Amino acid sequence: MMKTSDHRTSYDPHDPVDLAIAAALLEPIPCEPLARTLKTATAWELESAGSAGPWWSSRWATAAIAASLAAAILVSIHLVRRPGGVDRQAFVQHGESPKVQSFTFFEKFPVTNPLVAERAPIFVVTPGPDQSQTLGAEVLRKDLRPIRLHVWDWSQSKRSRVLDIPDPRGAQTLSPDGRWLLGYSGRGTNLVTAEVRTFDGFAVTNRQGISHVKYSGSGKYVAILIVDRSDEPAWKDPAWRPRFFLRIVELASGRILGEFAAAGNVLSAFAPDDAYIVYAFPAEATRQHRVARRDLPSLQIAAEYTTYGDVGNASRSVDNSAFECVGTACSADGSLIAAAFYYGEVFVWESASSKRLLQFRAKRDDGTRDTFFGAELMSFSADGGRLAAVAGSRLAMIETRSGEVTGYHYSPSTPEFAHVRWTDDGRRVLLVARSQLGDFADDDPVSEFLPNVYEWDGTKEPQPLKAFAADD
Amino acid sequence: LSERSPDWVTIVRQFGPLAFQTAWRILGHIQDTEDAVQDALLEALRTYRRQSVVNWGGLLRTAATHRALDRLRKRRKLSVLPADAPAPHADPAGIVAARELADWLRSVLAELPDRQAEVFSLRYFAELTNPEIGEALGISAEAVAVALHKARANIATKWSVVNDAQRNS
Repeated sequence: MMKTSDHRTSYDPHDPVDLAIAAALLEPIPCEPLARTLKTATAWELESAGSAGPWWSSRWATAAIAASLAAAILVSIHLVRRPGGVDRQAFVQHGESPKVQSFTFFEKFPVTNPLVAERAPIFVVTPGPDQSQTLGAEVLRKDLRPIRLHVWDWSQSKRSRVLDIPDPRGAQTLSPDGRWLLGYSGRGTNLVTAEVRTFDGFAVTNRQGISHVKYSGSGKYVAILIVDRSDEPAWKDPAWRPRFFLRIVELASGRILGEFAAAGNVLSAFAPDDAYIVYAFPAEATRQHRVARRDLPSLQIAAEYTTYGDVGNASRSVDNSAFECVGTACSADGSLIAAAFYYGEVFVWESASSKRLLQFRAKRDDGTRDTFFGAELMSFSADGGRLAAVAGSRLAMIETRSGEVTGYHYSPSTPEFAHVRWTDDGRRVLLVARSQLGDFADDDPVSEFLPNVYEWDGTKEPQPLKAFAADD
Repeated sequence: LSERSPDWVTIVRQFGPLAFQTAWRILGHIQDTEDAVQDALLEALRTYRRQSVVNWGGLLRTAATHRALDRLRKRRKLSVLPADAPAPHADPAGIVAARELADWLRSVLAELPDRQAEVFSLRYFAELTNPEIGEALGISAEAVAVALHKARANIATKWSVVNDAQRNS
């Protein structure tokens, strides 16, 4: 085991953990990015000093007051601090706590995450406690037994309807009308009649796995994203990556319409009338993701869409992440297509002509690029004039023709969202927040907050939806 | 600000490389590292403008660790564990194998409970001692040691599980 003295001096060659740590420590620090980061950071204070006279003058006034307060606080702390106690202020000499933010907890897997019906005012949380629940309520994990399915119809009520159907467990998706809960194994449960049915077309080999399943707009087809490890070399090859491909299945008959290479971790998008499917795929030579459209049910390639050409930012990426597509979307009439990329770029094209209408690059309030804006969720307004893009808890409203950003929001306190859609009047978007973890006991979460529905008009921060027909 | 506080440029030049090194070891990805360190430095700048700090190195490394782990968890990348551990020699093949091994560790780190990931990163990547980590997180050095032990045990278990699966397949 690694020595636990102040500095590492050796590692145990028989301990895989030590070996992995040593491997990470072996990697040389990239000097140019380091220099660039330091140069940027040193400029911040200089810019502030040179540009804002009033800021400095008020700063000194504030500093005088703060100094008096700090002296008082110091005396207080000195008086009340007990020997042997833990100094939670750690590195800070006096004043406020260090303000090092806690984790954002991206991946703690709440068990009550929402599945959303794309074309119905309904969503399902699975599992949930035994009694009806209110949107956004905190539930204790110990109460999540027995496991029950909850359905909310957000056009009606913020209280859930508890179904008398056992939770099917495992990865699932919900049909656009909210009637069928479909497992990735092809096992479907009708949430209205409790009928259980196995759909054909989901079979994979033991070297393959189903990564995602998505219904088409009408529910006629499903796109099954399959990860394929069948060509994994026996000898380790660091360049090897599993292949992904999309399988399109006609649900009623179980007929496989076809399979074709696709990018992993990207959700495909069906045109609302099921005329075509949009998806991303890795180019043969470069492995950079490209976007294409295939007609249904023929699956003939109808068009490809140009993304990056001479875009300079790509040179900063060492592993093609800049070319990694993270989301796709179609407008209601199928005339527009959008694709979002890992570092915050969104493209919009005319689907028929392949003409690129927009290349949006997310920016923070201070004008710097927001490279966290990988918009996995996107939705066009009914007329296609506006696009809502969502990356976790980051939101943007974009005019698709002009590229003007009419709304942008990010706050660490905003929840992450799992679904976005426009209201019928096209003025606001409705957002379904993911479940969030509540309190912890030691390292284990003991409660979680159920999903909630928010509305956002692009001006302030999203607000929980308050008006429900049945509750009024 | 107290008179003995260094100016911001000095802080960045003196401690920025430590923060960058920490984030780089956690992420192993240039763009992500730059973003994580910029966020950490922004937090530090706000602190700098507000109050005195006695340990800029510790503050910056802790902030960089938090932001880097945030980024790591957001990646959601798949990573497959190699069947056996390669010794990280300096020859080209060894370097490639080490890179793969480091990537595997990162993917496992993203799956650890938050406190364990935090303590593990601060201990091995930020090179803080257990008491320093305890100070940074507001917990005792004993609690740090326990979390560190659990983290190592979890990582070792994940190693064994995948190794066994590969042997059986």
